[in-house]
Amino acid sequence: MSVVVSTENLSKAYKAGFWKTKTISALDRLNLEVRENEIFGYLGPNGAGKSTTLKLLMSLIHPSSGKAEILGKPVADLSIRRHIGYLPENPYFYEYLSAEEFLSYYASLFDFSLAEIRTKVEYFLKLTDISHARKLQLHKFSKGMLQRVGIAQALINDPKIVFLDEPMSGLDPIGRREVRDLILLLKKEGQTVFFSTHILNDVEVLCDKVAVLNRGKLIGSGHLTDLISQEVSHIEIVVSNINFETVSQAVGSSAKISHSGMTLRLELRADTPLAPLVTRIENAAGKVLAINPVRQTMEDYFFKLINRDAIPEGKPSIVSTNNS
Amino acid sequence: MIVIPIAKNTFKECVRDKVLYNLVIFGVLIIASSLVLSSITIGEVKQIIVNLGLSTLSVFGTLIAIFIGIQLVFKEIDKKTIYSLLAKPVARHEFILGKYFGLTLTLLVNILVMLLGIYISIFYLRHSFQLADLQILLAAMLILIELMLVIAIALFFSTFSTPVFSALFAFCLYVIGHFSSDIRQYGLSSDSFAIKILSGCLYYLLPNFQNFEIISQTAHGQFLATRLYLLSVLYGLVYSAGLVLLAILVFQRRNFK
Amino acid sequence: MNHLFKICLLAVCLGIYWIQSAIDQKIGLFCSTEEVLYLPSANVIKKLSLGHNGLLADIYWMRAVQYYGGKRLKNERHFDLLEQLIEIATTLDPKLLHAYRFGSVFLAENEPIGANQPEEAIALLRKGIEHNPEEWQLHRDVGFIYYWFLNDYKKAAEAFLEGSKNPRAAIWMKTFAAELLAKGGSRQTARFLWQEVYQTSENQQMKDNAREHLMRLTAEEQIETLQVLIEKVQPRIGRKISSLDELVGLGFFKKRPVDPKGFAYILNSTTGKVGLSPASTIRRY
Repeated sequence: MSVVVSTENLSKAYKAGFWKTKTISALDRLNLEVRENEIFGYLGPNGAGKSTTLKLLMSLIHPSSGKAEILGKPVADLSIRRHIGYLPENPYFYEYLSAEEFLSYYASLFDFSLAEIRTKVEYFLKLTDISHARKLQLHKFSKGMLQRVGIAQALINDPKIVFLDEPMSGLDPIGRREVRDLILLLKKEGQTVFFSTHILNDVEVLCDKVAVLNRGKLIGSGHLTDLISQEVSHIEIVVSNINFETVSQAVGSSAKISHSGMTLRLELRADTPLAPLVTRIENAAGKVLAINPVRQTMEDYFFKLINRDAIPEGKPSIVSTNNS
Repeated sequence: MIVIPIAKNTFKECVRDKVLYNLVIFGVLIIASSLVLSSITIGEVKQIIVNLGLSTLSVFGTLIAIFIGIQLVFKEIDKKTIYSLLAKPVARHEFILGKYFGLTLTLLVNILVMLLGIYISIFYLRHSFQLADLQILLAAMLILIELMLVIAIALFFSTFSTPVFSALFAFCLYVIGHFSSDIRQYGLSSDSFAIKILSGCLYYLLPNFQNFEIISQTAHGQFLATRLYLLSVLYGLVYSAGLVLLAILVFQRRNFK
Repeated sequence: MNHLFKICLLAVCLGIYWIQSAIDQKIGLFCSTEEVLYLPSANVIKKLSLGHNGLLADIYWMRAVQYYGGKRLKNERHFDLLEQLIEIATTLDPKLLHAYRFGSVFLAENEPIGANQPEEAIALLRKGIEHNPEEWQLHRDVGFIYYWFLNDYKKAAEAFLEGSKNPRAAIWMKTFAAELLAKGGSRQTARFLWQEVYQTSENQQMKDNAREHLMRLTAEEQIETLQVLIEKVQPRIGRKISSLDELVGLGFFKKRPVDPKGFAYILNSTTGKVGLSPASTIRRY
């Protein structure tokens, strides 16, 4: 699969302060690659530089140094814009236009005939489920609906690559599910999707590759399957109808046992033989409710990276929510 | 060209602006009121209609040109509508040109509406038209060229400045531009070499709005010589082009954070 | 609560009306003497007009007309600001012909009709000529003022002659100049001029003014005729005639002679002079 997006030492620094003497580095020597038909997840805490990266790719801002290419051409090249779509963060569109007028306007910026424009507008109005509001002026749209219009305008030209900046923001669970399905649909149709987010769960479900950004620097990247070990980190067993001591005996000292309502939760090492344990529990009249092999999650990986990045400067590490 | 859909969209945006509507209607009302004036003055009423009509056209046109012109670029950046637009195959210079011509088109329509008001008033007065009345149309066209220059000024400031400052600068330039001959006179009559050079530079650098002063003459039925008229039109177009180019240059270097 | 606010609003509206009326009353008393303070210089206004000098000229001319009209309505005799207002209008728009022409009339006419400033009227017209050399009628107006209000027949003739040089000028200007030099201030010439003004004026006010002058001239002629008649008759009948009715009795007239406005002439028995009735509205100078 060919490389469709690539950056080489891409950097952006801003001059700040009243006399413009301070330099703030928003992005520091970013090197990444996105291949064709990938769903690429771009992660990072707020302020990490994700939007900056996207804006550099869209040529909305000019790099301080380094370069970026899309479909083999420099990002400033106008011709590549026919093949890309972009959804900005917190999008805002022309309030005096209706949804239909807006999409038609954007569609007219490409070389489509009037008939083609009409078909496309119809299609995307339906796809993003805003047909019912087509004649409504955009200033009357809710945030969620605006997000959907935004996606529609990003896809209106059937782009080869779609760049989405926080596409799930402002959406309710139904909306998020819809966007997720849409991204998967795009992949199925051969398109490439590059999206930035700070919702890790979405990344796990959707992405082929991820990159993690923190404070302007890339601190980790790779295929999802590589980063999140397929190996089981530990096994979790949920039991009931058995008391603590009995279980303790059966399981041994290496396991962790915790109460969870009427049940007991056991955390065992991954290589623990399960069959004899189950038998022992059942012999003690206990019930095994669940056996879960636990793998490292995206969240685990993310916080590991962030903490690692934070420590050399003596800053307190971010507290993670589980104990791996 | 991409400029056309952007210009069309800008036109749509202006036309849906309520302030614009009110200004145009108000302008037409003022022009109509000139018919009442015959009872409180002595002399040719047609002269008054033309003076009042063209002056109204000019003043209101200038107000619209400045107040909408300063928003042209700023609003798009401020409301972030520009982000999704520039990700489309739209070159930055096409964006600027589209905005410029969109507002120009809007003003052209406004001028035509007010011109209609003037001609209706004259017809109501005289029940006939003369060939000389065509001069009013030509005068209005020169005013349009003047307004295109004002738009260019406002647009230029809009590419890097907030509306308040843009309005301020634009107004200042407009007013100073009407005193161009004084600047020149000052330099010519001064003994200081430095002042001569400075005033000369200022005279040619600043937009000379006195080139477009045509209303009084038109009211008297005396018109500019053809050559002078064409030169004035050319001045307006060339200077506007220069400012639009400047705007494009500034805009191309901008970062949209 | 809402009602209270509405009542307050009504009270405010009435209050504003009352206060403004009170202010207007106060100002009204002193209006005329404070007039002069607020007229800016013509050149300053022109500079500030930003190319709209035509419109401002129209506005100042309108103010001049209203000023003049207002004064006439109140029967006031002083038109102090008139010259300045016209000056501003003509500086803003040097081609404002009607300001020169009508303005010079307002300025030149005797009180209470005008400002009684014929010299200033001529100066105004000369300014008009400077900026509008092709307008021959301005020369005619200059000539007229010299003739009628300043009684300077030589200068009047010069002006008419100057004006006649323009190929579009009225034909009579040249011959009239010659006649003026020869005959001076005859009633014939006066009548001719006022007749010309009456016929060529498109403005009703000007026409009425000319008609008043013509009627005055007719009255003067009639008075002269009556005077001559009385002088002729008295020696014949051997006594002094004490009233014009006697002339009727003597069969010279069918009824008492009246002036063009219908008022009977009277004979002052002490001085023996015929004159206008005190009630007559024929214009007196």
